[in-house]
Amino acid sequence: MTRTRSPLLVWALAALAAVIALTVLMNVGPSSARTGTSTVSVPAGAATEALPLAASAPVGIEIPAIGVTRDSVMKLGYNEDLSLQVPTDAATVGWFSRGAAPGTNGPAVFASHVNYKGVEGGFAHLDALTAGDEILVHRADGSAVVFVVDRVEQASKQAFPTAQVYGPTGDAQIRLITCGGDFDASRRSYEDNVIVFGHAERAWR
Amino acid sequence: MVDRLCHHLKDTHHHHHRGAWYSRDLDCGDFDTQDAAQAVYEADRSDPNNLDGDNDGVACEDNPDGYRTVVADYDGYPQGGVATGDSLPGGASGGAAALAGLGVASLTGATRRRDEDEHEELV
Repeated sequence: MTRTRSPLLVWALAALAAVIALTVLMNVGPSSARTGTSTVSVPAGAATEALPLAASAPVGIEIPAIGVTRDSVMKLGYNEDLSLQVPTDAATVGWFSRGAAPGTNGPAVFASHVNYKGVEGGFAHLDALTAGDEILVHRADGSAVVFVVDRVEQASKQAFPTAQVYGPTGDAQIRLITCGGDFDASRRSYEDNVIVFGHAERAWR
Repeated sequence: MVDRLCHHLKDTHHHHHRGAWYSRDLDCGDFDTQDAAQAVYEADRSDPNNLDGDNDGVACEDNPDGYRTVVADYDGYPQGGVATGDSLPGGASGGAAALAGLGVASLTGATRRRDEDEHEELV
């Protein structure tokens, strides 16, 4: 009985493993030759949650399309000049903890450097995201939210779209912010911000 | 040049899910001062919260001077652009050879801090 069934099972598992490996390989790293969008699958056994969720802080973020995986998220507030604080190292991804939590109505705002002290930043390849790419945010309460990229904008810091980025929304949304545009060496600052806008598509825990 | 060594922000307002955070772990950003972190560390040198990530007997030496001045009594939108970059890819900028060296120096620092982050914040 098992003799006839187990080879089938082995082949099925092997095929599944191959598909998973292929998916992972295709999603790793900045995908310059990428066709189509990068999506996230609901893990087996997870229970779907209705959006919006109750507030819970992000504890991890995955952006497969640009090879970003973080199992910690730094909380950001305001600098003394009331600008958004930024992570104090290159790789860390921060979340504006005075704004919306991911999965609640409103924009959950994340920021990471494009390049910091010569080190490639967490959002170095943010501008490679395209509409339809998915972002997975893990929350402190054990739930996870998938956001879908709507658009990627580049805006001058002098004309930062504050209301569009931080203003209230009728659904759960996400913003990913880094720097872009020309680099002003004398001020060690980029002229622009790259901003990804997205909305929550589904959640589970 | 100011090098903010902090990598944690003191949590000043997360009352709505404070329990969820605090039941997990304490990390450096939860303390106002290095002294406060050191006291918790001294109370249990096995360091269950991993406040001394580099095992040098000093807890949270990176505790946020910069973030201690966080503005807590403002609830509006952050103002202006976001300073998420201070160098070009490759670490060189505008013929500043010194900056390239700085990039290498900070690479080790950043890596160390990232390791600490993982230890402290992996929840």
